[in-house]
Amino acid sequence: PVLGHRGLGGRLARTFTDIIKPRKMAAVTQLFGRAFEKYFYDFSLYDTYFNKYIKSRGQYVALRHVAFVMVGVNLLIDVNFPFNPPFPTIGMCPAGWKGTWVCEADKHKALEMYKEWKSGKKAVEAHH
Amino acid sequence: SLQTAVPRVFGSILGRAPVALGQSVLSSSSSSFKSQGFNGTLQSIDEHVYAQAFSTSSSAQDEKQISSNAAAGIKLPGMAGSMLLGKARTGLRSASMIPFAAQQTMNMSTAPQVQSGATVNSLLIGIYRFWRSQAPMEKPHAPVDDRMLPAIIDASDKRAAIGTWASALFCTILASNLLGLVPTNEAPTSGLGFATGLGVSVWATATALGLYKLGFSFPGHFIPGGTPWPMAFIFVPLETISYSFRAVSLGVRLWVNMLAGHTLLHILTGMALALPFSLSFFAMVPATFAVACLLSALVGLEYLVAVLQSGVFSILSTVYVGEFNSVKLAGPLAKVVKKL
Repeated sequence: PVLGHRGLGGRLARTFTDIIKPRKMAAVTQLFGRAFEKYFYDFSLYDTYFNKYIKSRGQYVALRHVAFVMVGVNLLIDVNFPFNPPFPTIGMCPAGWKGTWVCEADKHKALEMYKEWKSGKKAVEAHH
Repeated sequence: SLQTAVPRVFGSILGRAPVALGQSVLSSSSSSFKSQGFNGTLQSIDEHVYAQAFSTSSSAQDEKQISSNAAAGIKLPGMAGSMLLGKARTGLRSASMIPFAAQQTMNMSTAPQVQSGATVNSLLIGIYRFWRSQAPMEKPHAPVDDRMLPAIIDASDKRAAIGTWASALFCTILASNLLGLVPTNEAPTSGLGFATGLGVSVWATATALGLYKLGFSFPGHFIPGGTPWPMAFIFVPLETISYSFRAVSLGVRLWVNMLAGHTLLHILTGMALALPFSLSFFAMVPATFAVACLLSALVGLEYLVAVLQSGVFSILSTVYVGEFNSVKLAGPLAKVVKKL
């Protein structure tokens, strides 16, 4: 085995070095390497699609940066949506949640309201 | 001579340099060695050199001469007489017949082999030479020849290794600063103890060097040149304060720069999150786009700050330590001057 039983230590390393053989590991690594290489160098959304709409590649990269940030921010918010924000909202509230625990500025009060909301939700679920 | 011939032949076949220290000498001028009484074994190279140096004849006398020289502290120039290369390999050489493969194995370096011209090496060489260039040696008034050479070596011995220290500081701080820009990481230099610890350490290094160099006349460093002596009573306390504040300012500059930028990013990201949190999607996109542009630009600025502050810290370190780094070059005390 390449790493040996002492290499990474524990059962995981033993699994990789003995059960999944080094040759297979190398094959998997090469496969991922080739795929990433193809994606990194040869696949370009700009060349295939966006060059009709965006003037230069630099501009495209800048827009891609900002789009990455926007998509990331939206995902992080939407994935766990009903939450009381730790960041200051400037008096704004998501539609339909005004007056609920989501828009309560007082954190202790919001926690109580959340418990109430959660128990009510559970009671509704239990009735169903 | 079969013993020495075999590695040489194999070495040429494998396209590698001959293995042992003495062998390059041997392969280049073996005939002259032969004519000078060299008996052809590797183990006798050191003794041969000693014999050349002290011109004794028999090997028994050589041994005595070597031991007495070693006792007297006379050593060969360079590494030839050093404990590392001289003594450590004697055991290997004096073993008469060990297999060739074992010889090769023993002669292989355990240090990792590096590719010459590698990017990291070139980069580090450039970095080191830059920081070394911040504390250049003064040009001596006498021409540098073999008469002057001991004084040059002495002067470079007496100088602090500012190039090395500044390079180490630069690499450490740069790596720490850039760690703050890697996802799920924060910069160690945005911690008070880390950053100011580095600053105080550099200041203490400079002060220790100054005390070592100047001794009790250390406060004299705080008097500008050409000042009348009564002014010293005013100058020295004031200069001491400003000098001591460097211990604080050097580290705090780094700390605050790494902390303030990240704090600003925290605040602005929070304000940016308020928009997609509370607005509907179509109302949110243009506003969030603008804020995301601003945030990206600020992260780019943080990259600039991370590189810049590590440079500023190291530059100031060279300045602070370099204040006490001037060395009086010990030129020749007597010289033979030719008159035209």
